[in-house]
Amino acid sequence: MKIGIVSDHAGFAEKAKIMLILQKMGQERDEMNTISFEDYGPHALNPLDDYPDFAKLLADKILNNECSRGIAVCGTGIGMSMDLNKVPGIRAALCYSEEAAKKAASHNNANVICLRGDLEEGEVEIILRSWLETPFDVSGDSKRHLRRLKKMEEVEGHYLWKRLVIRVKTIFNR
Amino acid sequence: MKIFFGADHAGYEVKKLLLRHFEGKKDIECVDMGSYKFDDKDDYPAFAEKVASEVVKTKDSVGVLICGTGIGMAITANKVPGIFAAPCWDEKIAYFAAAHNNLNVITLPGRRLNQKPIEAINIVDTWLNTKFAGDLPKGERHKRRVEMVEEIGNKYQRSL
Repeated sequence: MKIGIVSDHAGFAEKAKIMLILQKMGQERDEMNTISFEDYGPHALNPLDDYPDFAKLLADKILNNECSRGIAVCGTGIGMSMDLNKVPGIRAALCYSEEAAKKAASHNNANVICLRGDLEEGEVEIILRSWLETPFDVSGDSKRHLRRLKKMEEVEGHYLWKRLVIRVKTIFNR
Repeated sequence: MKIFFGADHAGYEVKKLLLRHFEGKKDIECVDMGSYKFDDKDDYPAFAEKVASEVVKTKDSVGVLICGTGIGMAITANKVPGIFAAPCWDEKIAYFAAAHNNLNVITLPGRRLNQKPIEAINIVDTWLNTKFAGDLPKGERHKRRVEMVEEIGNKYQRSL
């Protein structure tokens, strides 16, 4: 599994902490099940940078299959999560607790988690482990989570379609 | 201002409580978009779409969505063009969500707030009473960022 990591200035320090934790987690695992990660930026602290630039970068990497999951950090995690959820195929969960991280994995099958920049090191580790080690729950009577994700994708598809129709109409009306 | 409320089974109780609190308040009109009765088999995306599409259509309106963690509602609502949604679990986050991100739909963790009903009210109150800093002289950067979010939504929709 390869994880892409981005942040803005407010999540820059937290990003470094996260990479250390992921490195540690990678070493604990055997070769078949290893974790790798890549830092997609920013590579230097720039107090004037904007979170959408890095959200877009991560989204592109995931859509191009350069990584399978993502972690995005900004001040509160809100900006990153709004932004990434605008991208079709991305399910970004703002994880504020262990419980939220577990549910993000087991109920929402989140392929991206967004974190706030002021989490304590212990908290981050618990959240990362919960998200990475909890499987998407599709067993037995838990088909409901899959059903809900499909409904979510229908909403996504509906608005993609609507936009397309509007575009075609404007082209013909020219 | 019009507030559209929606919740699945995990947020049903919190929605009831919020409606009771906000109904009859000056300058606020509450609209309940369901679910109208407790049904533990209902699915969050239906309510997320109902509220999101109404907020986009209606001038001077916002939305409140509640599910177990607020995550499912936020993912679904954000898929609707023009919606900015995120889970807010405390007052501080609610303040930033309004001031920096101009959130027009707030999503709440119902399972967490079930035991703390006053907190649910405080979160929504803080969010409603905080002005977007992007409209203030020094907050230009927040406005720029929120506009970038909308562009990203458009870009990916065009590329498909």
